Amino acid sequence: MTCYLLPIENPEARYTLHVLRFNPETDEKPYWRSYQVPFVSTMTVIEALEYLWDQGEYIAFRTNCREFTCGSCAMLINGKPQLACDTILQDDMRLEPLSRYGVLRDLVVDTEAIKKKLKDVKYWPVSANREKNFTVPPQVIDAYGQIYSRCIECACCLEACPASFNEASRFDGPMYALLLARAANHPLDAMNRIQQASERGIWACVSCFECADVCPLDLSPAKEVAKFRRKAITQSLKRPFTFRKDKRYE
Amino acid sequence: MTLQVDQVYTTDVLVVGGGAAASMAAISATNEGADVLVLDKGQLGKSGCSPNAHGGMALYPKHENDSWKIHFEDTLMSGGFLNNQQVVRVLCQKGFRFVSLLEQFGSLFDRDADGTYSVRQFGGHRYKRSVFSGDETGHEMMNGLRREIARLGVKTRDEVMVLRLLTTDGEICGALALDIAKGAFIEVRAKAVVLATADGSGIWPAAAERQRGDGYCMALEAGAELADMEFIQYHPTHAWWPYGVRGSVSESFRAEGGYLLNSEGERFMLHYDPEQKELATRDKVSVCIYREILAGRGARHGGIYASVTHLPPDHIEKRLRVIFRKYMSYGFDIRKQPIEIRPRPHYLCGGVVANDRAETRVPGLYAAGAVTAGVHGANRLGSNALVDILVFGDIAGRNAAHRAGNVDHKRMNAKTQVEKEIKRVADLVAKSAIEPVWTPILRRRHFEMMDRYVGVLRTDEGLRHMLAEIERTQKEDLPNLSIRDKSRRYNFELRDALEMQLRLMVEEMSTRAAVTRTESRGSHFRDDYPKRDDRQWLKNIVFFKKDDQLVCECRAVEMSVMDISELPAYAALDSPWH
Ligand SMILES: Cc1cc2nc3c(=O)[nH]c(=O)nc-3n(C[C@H](O)[C@H](O)[C@H](O)COP(=O)(O)OP(=O)(O)OC[C@H]3O[C@@H](n4cnc5c(N)ncnc54)[C@H](O)[C@@H]3O)c2cc1C
Ligand code: FES
Repeated sequence: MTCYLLPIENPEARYTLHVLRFNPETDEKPYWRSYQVPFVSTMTVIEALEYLWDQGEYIAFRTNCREFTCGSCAMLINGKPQLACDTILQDDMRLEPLSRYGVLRDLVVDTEAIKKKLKDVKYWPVSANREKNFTVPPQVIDAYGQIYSRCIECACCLEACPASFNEASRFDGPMYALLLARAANHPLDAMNRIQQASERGIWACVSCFECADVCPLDLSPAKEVAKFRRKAITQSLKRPFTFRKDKRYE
Repeated sequence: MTLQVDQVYTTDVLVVGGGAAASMAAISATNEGADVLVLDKGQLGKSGCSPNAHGGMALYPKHENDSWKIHFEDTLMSGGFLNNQQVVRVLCQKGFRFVSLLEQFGSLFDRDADGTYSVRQFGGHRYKRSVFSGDETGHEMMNGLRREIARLGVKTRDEVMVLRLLTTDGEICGALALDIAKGAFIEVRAKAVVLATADGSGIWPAAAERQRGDGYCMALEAGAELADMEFIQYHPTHAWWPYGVRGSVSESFRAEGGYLLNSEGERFMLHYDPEQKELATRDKVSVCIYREILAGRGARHGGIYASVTHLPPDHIEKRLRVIFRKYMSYGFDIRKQPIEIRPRPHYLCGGVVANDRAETRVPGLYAAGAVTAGVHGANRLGSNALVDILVFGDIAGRNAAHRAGNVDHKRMNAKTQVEKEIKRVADLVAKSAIEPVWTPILRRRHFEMMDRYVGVLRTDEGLRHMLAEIERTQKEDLPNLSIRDKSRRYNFELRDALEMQLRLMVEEMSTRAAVTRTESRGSHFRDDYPKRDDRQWLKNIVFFKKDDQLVCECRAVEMSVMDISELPAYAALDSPWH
């Protein structure tokens, strides 16, 4: 909820907001519901949802920072994955939960699978001797500052990726590729990340750059995929074009 | 909806929270061999204000003349000598180790050309000593901590709100929590609990609205003491206009050379503080801005102007990346136009009393991070908090693990406590009051009143007005507090209503402490007592519960490391700030 009253200048001016609602306890199917929100210039979708909380419409959604640093408020806004705190409200907007994960209620989805996969891919620096001294080349500092440190793991790019439909796809998806690149660039990391990326399906990427298009922080996971591919080829991995094993037959 | 305990955990150490302090505690306790469970009201690493901290962490005395002692003095001067000196000493001495530790976990921080960490300066620090990662220091810190938690395989549960700490014979034996995702209770048996639920600045209309002070109330009920609750730090530069932009404009804005201007285009800080100028301590800047606004020299939308238009554009793009981008996304170019800012509550310096071993008065209860008092005294020095949460998160985790290694599980003798708590929640859900009171409306009213009466400029009259309102709310509104949403899953209305009940307790302590302290010091500024009074008020105001009654006590500060007379320049002044 907002702690200051909205600075409403013209009470007549209103926006309509459509929300796909679903409460598994009471509803058989999701349904659309429309709400009226007063117009305030540069107001964000989060503020509109909080305004509705104030009115007693407790639509379930996640938020924390409101300044796109926590990545918890991703949802489909007019069909496009975006951060609700980074999207300015417009008339007739349609809000839906992300489609890649199971819906827990309204706009809240079950992201446990992401946590599990991050663990699977060992997204921390893997090293036998972590305590050793190391130097960091300036280009790595820059890469972290410009790219890797900035990913907030909001999952917008996963939603947009046509080559990775869900968490079981043979390509993990853009966000994971970027996080692997981050790990690979860490001075302590000793794992063969190129091999790993290769096995985790980067060859399925179709280089459509949808991920870069939706990234709220203007990062480009597809570029990281391309870098991995180039390295895999120039370093002639034994079998660069492997995919992850098909688990269905195990 | 029927409410019952549907899951019981048994663990050595229970960590309550999900920010950096909680993560660090969980990591250290795991490394000491303890079995750890982390319960977080939000999602671990995405909740709390650790990932939002932009500025830096003050732990690297890079300048040759800098030392822990100077950092210690700076912290005490900012804290008005009310700090727990033992705790501050540990903070200033033990901080540096954690940069390399975080880098082992997977973070990386900015470096200069010679390979040493880059440092920046924050208001009130005499030297540049804050290590950072661009404008996203806290986020990068959490990047490392989350990876280490995953690597160690620490058991974590997201979206579980801890409601009450359970005690047997005055010792901690576990906790009761509400699983927000499922709408069921979780009972935890633990040998030690680390409380890392952050401060209660969200009682005010704060930037970090989600900091609701749950931990304070849990600790108080369990028998711990709270101190320094009157010191709410206002962040002087909070985004105010354009409207959609939220959050604080980090101190790096001023650190990199930004100006504050009134409606006449004047750098007003030059005559309030010709020496420190815009980089004076936060509370001083806040009061100065409020004075300008009250004198009618505020900006168009009620804030004050902040400008970096005089700096080179590429410098702004590089060094103020987050702020620049944030405003750009609203079509606002900070390279060309000044923004409007306004002071907003940022950090409640007070909290649970813990010693330099992170122990509270209750055996088995440890506290770390923003939920504690003592480190920051009357006013927090920018970028000290991120050091505090790492150093004391680590200490709390270790000591909790040691305790768990040495004691057995207490006989769980807390049935009545559990039942009482479940009943409290069930009553709230079931209630159908004739004149129901809804949380959002009540909370907004209290936000506004806390800001007005217990905010930057305080008077006896205003504070008493607030006390009356709190009493009225407890008597008239709380019994009618109702919720409309009766479902179990993700019932955020229920969560908010439960927090509402807690917040009144925090409001009461803050306001009572502010009435009691008849002087100005640090972030507590009384318009009717504008001077610092060291003869009467080198004291902490402490709260605890005795026979179910809230007791307020004034205790003289122990100057165990440095006496105030050792800083004669400070002692001679009677300004609240220095
Ligand atoms: C915008 C902003 C900028 C800042 N910039 C700086 C800076 O530059 N330098 C600096 O040093 N400090 C800065 N700070 C302060 C610093 O970020 C905080 O003091 C610090 O992050 C607090 O860490 P913590 O781990 O104690 O708490 P938090 O990170 O806030 O975590 C508290 C956790 O407790 C959980 N919790 C709360 N209640 C419950 C409950 N009942 N049950 C279960 N879990 C619960 C929450 O979900 C949350 O995860 C800044 C703060 C803000 C808001
Ligand atoms: S609320 Fe944190 S990213 Fe939107």
